[in-house]
This record gives sequence, C-alpha cells and structure tokens, in this order.
Amino acid sequence: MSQNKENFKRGCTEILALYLLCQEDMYGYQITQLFSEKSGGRFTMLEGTLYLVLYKLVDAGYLSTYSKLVGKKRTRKYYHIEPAGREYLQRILHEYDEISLGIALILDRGADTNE
Amino acid sequence: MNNIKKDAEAFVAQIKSNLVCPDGEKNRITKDIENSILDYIEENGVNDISEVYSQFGTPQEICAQFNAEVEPKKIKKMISIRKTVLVGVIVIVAMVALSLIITLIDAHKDYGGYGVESEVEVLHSSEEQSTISDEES
Repeated sequence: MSQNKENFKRGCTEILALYLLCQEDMYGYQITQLFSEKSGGRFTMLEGTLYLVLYKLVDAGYLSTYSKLVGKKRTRKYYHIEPAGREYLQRILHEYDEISLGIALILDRGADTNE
Repeated sequence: MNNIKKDAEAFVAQIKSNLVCPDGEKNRITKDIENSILDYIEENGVNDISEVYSQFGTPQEICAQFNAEVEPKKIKKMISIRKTVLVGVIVIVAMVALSLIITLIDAHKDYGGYGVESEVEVLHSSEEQSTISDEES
C-alpha cells in the first residue's frame, strides 16, 4: 500500500471515528470493520493506526471509555463520544470541507466551482 | 479454539516485548490489541494464527506503528533510564560480591588458613580428667 494512501487515511481517521461514534458507542475492532464495510473495502486500517488516534481523542477529553463483560471473563472496551468531541467533530468537518473544496478548485475537479 | 487463543497470547506477548514506551502505555496498547484479535477470532471463527497475521500484520509491524509515534526524545530518555538502572544494578551486585569475597578471605586468614566456624570443645573421659588434674597438682 502506498505511503500517500496511508497518510491520507491517517488524516481522515479522526473525523471518521468521531462520526461513527456519534451514532453509537463502539469497540475498536467494530470501528475498523465499519470503515471497511461502509467504504466497500477501500478504507481498511491496521489496528495500531486506529488505536493511536483513539488514544489521542481520549487524552484530549473528546472520547471516554467503559468496559463491558463479554462471555465469562473477557472485558471489551467501548468508546463513547463526549459533548466536547461532538463540537470538535463539527469544527474539523468544517475544516475538512474547506480544504477539500480548496483542493478541488486547484485541481479543477469541482462540480460547482466558482470561476 | 484453545490453541488459537494460546497462539494469540504468544502473538500479543511478542508485541509487548517489542514496544518502546512506558509500562502503563504498553499495557493499554497490548490489552486493546488483544481484545481486537479475540474479537476477530470469535466473530470470524478463526482457527489458524496465520489469519491473524494477515489481518493485523506481524507483531513487529504493529509495534513499528506505535513506536513511530513515540517521540525520539522520549525513546532516548527511556533507553538512557534503562541503561542507568542496568548499570546501577551491575555496580551494586559487583560491590556485594566484592565485599563478600573480602570477608571470606579475611576469615580464612584469621584461622590460619583453615575455615573454622566454631571452637571445638574437647571432652575427656573421667580417667583422663583425673590424670590431668594430678599432673596439674
């Protein structure tokens, strides 16, 4: 897999993880599976990359975690988005829209670009 | 299922030994990766560890992702702390060993080259005892 693709994905992981967590609380493996399913297999991700992003969001107070018992012994860690995380998502979504519009304009790819 | 779980534990142990970060962070990462692997095994009915390798990468690849994110300064600091602790332990062990050797040599010399641990009480029979007391008188 190309390094460019990895870098693009890494940059988007924060937005995508926060967006999915707005819908329901999820565990790590579930998030990577949803990335893959919803993107038709185009957005697959190694666990390490996802957890690094999740740790940063937890440390920043945008996400919180809680554990649920699975089976008899094992506990599974769920991620929950906090109000600060929802605000942060709106902010970075706006930034994303601005940047992608800018890129589309530069590349002459915008469908409704203002010339 | 038990075999694959044991293989998964070994896989996670390899990750733990290759991570360069504080112990608390190490535990958090390995616990989360272990949970993801177990979720993958249970949800997909995986029986062969090679499937885990192809889904998650090798333990070295997983560690490389995490280690790449740790600042070089932090890594340097951790390595220097570990080196200092290691040198400290070696020095302490060497000093204890040296003092033990010196004590043993001194004890050896004190007893004219024999390693005597306690004085021996000489017991005489009653006949010998009377002979000794006669000689003394």
